[in-house]
Amino acid sequence: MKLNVKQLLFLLGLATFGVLILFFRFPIHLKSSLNDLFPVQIAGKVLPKEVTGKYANLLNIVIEADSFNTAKSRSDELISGLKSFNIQNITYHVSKNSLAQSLDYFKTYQNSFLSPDVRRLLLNSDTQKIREQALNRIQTSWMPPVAPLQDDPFLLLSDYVQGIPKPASAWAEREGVLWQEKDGKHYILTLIQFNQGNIYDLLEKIRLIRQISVPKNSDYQVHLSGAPLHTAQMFEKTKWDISLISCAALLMLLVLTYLLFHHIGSVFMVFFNLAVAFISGLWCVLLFIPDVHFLTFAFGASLVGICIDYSFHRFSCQDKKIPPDLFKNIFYSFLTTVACFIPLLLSDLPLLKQIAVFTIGGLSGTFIWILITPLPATKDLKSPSFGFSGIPFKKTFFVLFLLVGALGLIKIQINHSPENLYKPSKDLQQEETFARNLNGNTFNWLLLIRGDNLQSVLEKEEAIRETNLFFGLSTMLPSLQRQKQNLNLIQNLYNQESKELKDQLGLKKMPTPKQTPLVDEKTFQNQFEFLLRQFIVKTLNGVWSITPLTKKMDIADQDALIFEPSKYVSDILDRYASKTYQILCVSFGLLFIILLFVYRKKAFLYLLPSLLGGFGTLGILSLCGQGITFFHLLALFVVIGLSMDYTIFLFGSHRPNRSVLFAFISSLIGFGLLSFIHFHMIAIMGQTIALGLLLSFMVIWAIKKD
Amino acid sequence: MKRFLFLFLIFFSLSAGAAPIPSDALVIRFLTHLQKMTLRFDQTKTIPEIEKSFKSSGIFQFEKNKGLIIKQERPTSQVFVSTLERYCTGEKSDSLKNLPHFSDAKSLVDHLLQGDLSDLNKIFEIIYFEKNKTWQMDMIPSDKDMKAFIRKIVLKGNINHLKQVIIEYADGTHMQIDYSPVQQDLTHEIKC
Repeated sequence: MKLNVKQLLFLLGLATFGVLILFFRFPIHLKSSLNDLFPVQIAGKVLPKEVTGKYANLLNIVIEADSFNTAKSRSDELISGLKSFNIQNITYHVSKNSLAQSLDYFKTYQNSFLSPDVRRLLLNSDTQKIREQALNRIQTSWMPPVAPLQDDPFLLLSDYVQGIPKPASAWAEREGVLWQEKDGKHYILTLIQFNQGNIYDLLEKIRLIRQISVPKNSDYQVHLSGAPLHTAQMFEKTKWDISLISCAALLMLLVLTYLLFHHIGSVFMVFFNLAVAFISGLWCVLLFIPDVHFLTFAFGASLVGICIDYSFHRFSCQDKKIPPDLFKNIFYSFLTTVACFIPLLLSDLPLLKQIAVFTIGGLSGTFIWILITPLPATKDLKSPSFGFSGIPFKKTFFVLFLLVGALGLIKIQINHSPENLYKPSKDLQQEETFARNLNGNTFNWLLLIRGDNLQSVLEKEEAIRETNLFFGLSTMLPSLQRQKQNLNLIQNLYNQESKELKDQLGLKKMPTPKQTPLVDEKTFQNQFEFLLRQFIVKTLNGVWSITPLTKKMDIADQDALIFEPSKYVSDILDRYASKTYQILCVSFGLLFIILLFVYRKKAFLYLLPSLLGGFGTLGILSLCGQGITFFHLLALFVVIGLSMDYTIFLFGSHRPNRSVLFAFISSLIGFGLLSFIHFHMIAIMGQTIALGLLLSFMVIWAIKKD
Repeated sequence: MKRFLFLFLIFFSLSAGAAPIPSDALVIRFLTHLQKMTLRFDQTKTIPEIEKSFKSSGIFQFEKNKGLIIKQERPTSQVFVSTLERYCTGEKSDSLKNLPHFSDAKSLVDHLLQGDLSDLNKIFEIIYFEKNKTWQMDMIPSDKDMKAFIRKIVLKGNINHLKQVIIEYADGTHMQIDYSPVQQDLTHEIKC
């Protein structure tokens, strides 16, 4: 294939652009997690990925055995096995504190802690009640006090320790591990957090963990669950699917191109055009967006369909230079598709923006390339025209189609339940069910609090804990402000009640408050580093605490948020679906204005195939029992883009070129193949686009005059 | 009222003997035949820092497969009830599963009532002897966490019921509870 000067200049520009982009963007971070698609917001600000990724990046390893000792020793072996591989950037969440160490900590800083009930009584100056309660317990209780009686005669520390709410976890700490016993079986949980790295790092780490986790004998079992496994499996399967589908699609394209032109050179030119489109789209998306999600490229397959169309149209024309009519049609097709994708740039969903930039960039690249590409050096290209004549029942079909679509639209239901969006493999689903049974309802809600520093986070959490009972970091580490306040309250109690208590108990000495220091972050970290790691995330925009809750609560603090992961995704997708629907309407409006400008009275006729094809697809899918999702709506943009192209070319000529039919078949098969992909969201889009194209093409056929 | 929770756990931790105890020992027969016992208790607590001792009393009832009731009458009135699934203290009621180490305690109790003392041997070093149809078990904690609070527990009983519990705490506090049979049924009197 010989390149002319214009082509060489274009490719040189593309290469220079690419080198510059790679220079500034290298290394390129390819996002892969579902979490990256749905940014969580608090007080209008997007949560940093360190916060949202806190639980999304956790892998659970559960050892199951008949006895605690077996489970513990197998767990220890597994952890030391993992550590021997020195896997970088992962954190093991393991407690190293015994009960005695925790009690020593409380005794050392005992004046820092007051239970909510005692604090309330002291703030109300009801010191007498505290004395009476202490007296009763000292006289009769079997429970030994946490601190010696001379250090804590009012049993304030005992009261605090015994009143600590159970952490929102079904797992108890035992001998330095997280443990639980259920139905006679003992389970030990090790949490592994993946801190950073790209998808390939994740795949490699998970491969190693799986390899090490294979049980060495039959006295125990290992269960792996957690979001990273889903991300890895989804990526691996999707990668494999995409490779397979790409091969099948390319083969199909090869055959179709050859059947259309009967010339092998044109096949290379079509593929070259595809490469130009992909590279142009890639450079554009990298220019504007540093972290691209791999779904953008999966969706970019839509671009392929449109590029093929341009190539087919161009090479079907026997003239060396593009005739004005063909240029006009290609230009209008390009214009309408770009107009359709432009409103996506206004969306606040990163994926939509990425798709829009990728598609517009790629289309522009291929459009320019087509304009400067001459015909292959042969005159034997064959692409005869075809017509719609002789096909019966056109009107009957049209009415039937309208009825089915309308019927379906009545039944339409937006459904973003997790089951409708994502279907994990059977084994992974079983492991997740197993983990959910063990975890109970502990991860249904997360309390997120943001502060400028740790002290402000602790103060906000304490304010929330005044009216809600839960185990948070401030249970173990009260804010300095709270500690000073507690100290004053305790001093006041002793001043008021010491003499009376001494007389009633017959104490040998007058009780005085034990002098204890305040506990600061550094001191706390030395002993409870794992707790800080569990609850706190430090980011550039402040410090965040993340606390699992067993029940939902109402909070008024604007820097705090109750986050319900499963519901959040469906809520946010509902919101995105509604926004996408609005954008879709804007796109249709914009398209209509352009069509009105170009085709005047026929504008609505040109719009009709896209409109009926799009909404008819939603109707038929609803009739088939599918819940409509944001991804269905997203797919409609591709349907509009491609069907506009067919409409412009088919309506623009009495005996249209066969290239349009071949372009349609290639897109139909390409997107049809996408319906078989394991990643359900992509499959949804594949189904929608394939059905949408089929319907649009049938509408064109139904309303076109022979 | 949380103090009763500890009592509940201790009670079950205490009512057994060690591995060398023969299968026909009095304590084993007492445990395996135990169906229901209702006892009056008189408790005396002595604390090192305090010159006087404190007395309390009430009724204790245990029924196999139903639970236990502790009704303190003196110096104040208080009740602790535990069914097999829930416990109630005053106004508070909660699932036993929310208690720390409940599954361990339950498993220990189930084993004890079948005469299996192996679980207890993991927690205590036990000295057992019998005299005049009365059995006695001296139990010294071997668990580090428990040692920080309890120095020794002594249990005395006969084939029919528990007669005495003595607890020596690590801080020098001494508690003695004497039990005597009483003809009273609390089952229908107190609900949980």
